[in-house]
Amino acid sequence: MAVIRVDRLTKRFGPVVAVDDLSFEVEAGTVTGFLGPNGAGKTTTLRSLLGLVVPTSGAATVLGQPYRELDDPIRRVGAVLEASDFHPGRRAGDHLRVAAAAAGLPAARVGDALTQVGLQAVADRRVGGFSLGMRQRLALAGALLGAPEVLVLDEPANGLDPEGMHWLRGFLRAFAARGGTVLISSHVLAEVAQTVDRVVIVSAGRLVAAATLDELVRRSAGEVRVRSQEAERLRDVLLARGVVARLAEPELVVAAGVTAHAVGQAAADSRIAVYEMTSDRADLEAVFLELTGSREGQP
Amino acid sequence: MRNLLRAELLKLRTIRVTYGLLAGGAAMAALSVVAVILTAGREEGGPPLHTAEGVRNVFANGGSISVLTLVLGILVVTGELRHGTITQTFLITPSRSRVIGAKVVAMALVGLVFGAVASLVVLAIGLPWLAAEDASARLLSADVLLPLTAGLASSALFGVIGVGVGALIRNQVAAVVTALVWQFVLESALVGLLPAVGKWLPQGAARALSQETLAEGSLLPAWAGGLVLLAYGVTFAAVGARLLVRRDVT
Repeated sequence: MAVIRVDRLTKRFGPVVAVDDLSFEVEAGTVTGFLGPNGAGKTTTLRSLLGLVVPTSGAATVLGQPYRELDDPIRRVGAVLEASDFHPGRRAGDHLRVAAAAAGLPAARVGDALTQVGLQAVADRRVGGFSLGMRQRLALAGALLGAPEVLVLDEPANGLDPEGMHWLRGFLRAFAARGGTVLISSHVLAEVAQTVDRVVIVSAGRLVAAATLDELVRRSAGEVRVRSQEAERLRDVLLARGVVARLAEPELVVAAGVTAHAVGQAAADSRIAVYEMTSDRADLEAVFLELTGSREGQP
Repeated sequence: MRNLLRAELLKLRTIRVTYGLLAGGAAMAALSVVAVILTAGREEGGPPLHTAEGVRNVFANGGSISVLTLVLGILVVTGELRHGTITQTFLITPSRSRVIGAKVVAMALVGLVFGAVASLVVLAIGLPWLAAEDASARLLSADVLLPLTAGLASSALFGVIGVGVGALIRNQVAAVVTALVWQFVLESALVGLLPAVGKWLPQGAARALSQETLAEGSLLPAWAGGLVLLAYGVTFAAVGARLLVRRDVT
């Protein structure tokens, strides 16, 4: 079942097209990475999903409804948008108490949420003195307040130290394992690669890929290196099958743009003995940069 | 709506500016009551303390805190936009007009509290001082209670107007500056120059409410002044809320 559905979403800000005919779905019980370079339209998409931004056309629904029409939305969907969204003079606990009061949640939830993110000791400190990482944790506490079944997180890794990031990964995996659904955005694939089941990649407001990480890697031009005493014959067999293959050493064939599975099958079909085969997994980050066309643009 | 109102009141109680403005308002009320008593009966001052008008003028000073409830009302909306807390507010309560409605009610209540504090300050200074001057000012008399009540109402109503102004202008600095320039420069000029128009403007209505003695009889009756203020507040807030509903929160 699709918990989040973005359907032909377009958002223009004046002459700027921030999101351009974007469609994707997020399944229940999965963690989906929403990836793309800065300015790709991720934040605008998430804010449209949460009813904060009015789309120019298209629609986004969560749990089958537009966010604004959900009853008691904070009990169903938790969101972390920007870590700076606090009044600097307000104490951390008070920030959550305000949210709990507005949502009609029991005040005890505040302590629970603070404990969940490890901020219980600083509940009485003003947010103005918080580091970026602490603000991220506080924002997450706000998202968890209503014990929701869906989490939408916009760049939550920003400002988190490695320990915080490690904790967040574990937290999100456990959340999904209990049946929760997570959509988490990032401009760095590596930040979320260990956490996500699937990725939705956008660039310049458009969808460029929606796949599992494995599919993503397979789709890219990896290399398969095969050692055989009949290397030359293997190369010819592969060439005959339309695979770009070359003889790198007398007993080494390098095939590009093909899976190890296909190469092995080709060798078996021609009864060629292979004594070593390695699949050069394309670097995930390189695939990401290639897809988003930002290889040069990135610092 | 009760939850929303509780949340709005909690927001105000958990930031320091609320207490700063309250303290400032109490000080303003104290200074203005002292100034009125010291100048009463003099050429440049109000009517003498031994007249009913003189007594009313002293106890009308509680309303001076209204300028600060106006500012606080503006901050209640623009502060959320400035700090981005409006995101959380609208995530919890997607109905933006209900949020503004809760802010209006919250500021009316907080305005009453501000007005009550100012009234106490005015009473604490005015009653013993007038007694010492042998002026007849009893707590339970119309000349004391009516202007005090007017001050309370004015404080609450300007809080509501502040929410409306904040929702309309949205930028914190621009909203505060506009409101203050309007109050102290434009309107003071208009009330003096074109009383027929001026009496319908917020400041003119506020003066009517406090039954300030302008001698010319150029003001509305007190009750009408109060209604005019309420109309301004509710209209500003309703229009502001309407504009907010389709606005992107980015």
